[in-house]
Amino acid sequence: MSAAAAWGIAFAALAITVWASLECVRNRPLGDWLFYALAALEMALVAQLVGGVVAVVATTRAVDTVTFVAYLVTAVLLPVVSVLWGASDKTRWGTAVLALGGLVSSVLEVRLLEIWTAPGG
Amino acid sequence: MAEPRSTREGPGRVLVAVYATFALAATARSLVQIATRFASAPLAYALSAAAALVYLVATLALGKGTPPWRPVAWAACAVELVGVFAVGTASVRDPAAFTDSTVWSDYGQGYGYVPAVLPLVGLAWLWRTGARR
Repeated sequence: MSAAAAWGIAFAALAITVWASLECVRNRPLGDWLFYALAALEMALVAQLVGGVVAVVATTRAVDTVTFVAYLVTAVLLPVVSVLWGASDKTRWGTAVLALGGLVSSVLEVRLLEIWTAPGG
Repeated sequence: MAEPRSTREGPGRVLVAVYATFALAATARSLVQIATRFASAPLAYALSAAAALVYLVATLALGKGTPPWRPVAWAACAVELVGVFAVGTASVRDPAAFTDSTVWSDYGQGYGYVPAVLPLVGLAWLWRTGARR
């Protein structure tokens, strides 16, 4: 698995958190551009799921495969769930849900890297 | 007496999302602990499972937000409050009994103390959205 890509996704997700938090403070509902940013994040996560599964099958190191794949799948599902739950509220609070979602996404990426690099899985 | 406001609207959206996050984290952690090494720390892992169940019920009840679910949400948040302080205190006083950690160990230190604050926020939110007299 590409550590650089995982860090990139983690920082992109954090940037979305900062952006959504600012939008929430400015009392804005979910706007088009923030939605596009989330869609781009989602595409990166789907690519990471594919790349991660290939990498964990190919590696000769002992990696906790079940946990690793569970984190990859959770990371893909998380933005979808947070958009479904957040966007159905047309107030600033829907935007706040997406800020939280970005934060959780970045935490998932850091845990993913820990699981990938942990000695013996 | 006016109808209580739904617990899933406004700031409640965010609260339910935080509860859902903890429900997911606690359930996943508990399933892994019980499936892979239950015998090594049965007390901690049983408490992990109990915490996961409380978070799942609280998420569902606050997420539904309708009057019949309010008592369920009150109960879940109250159990959560008692749980996090009981388990937190027990884990600080007798670390040997907790050979592996739970979501509630050390008052939720591993999760930025959010588990200690969350039930208070949940109860406050239920109070604020309650029926006006």
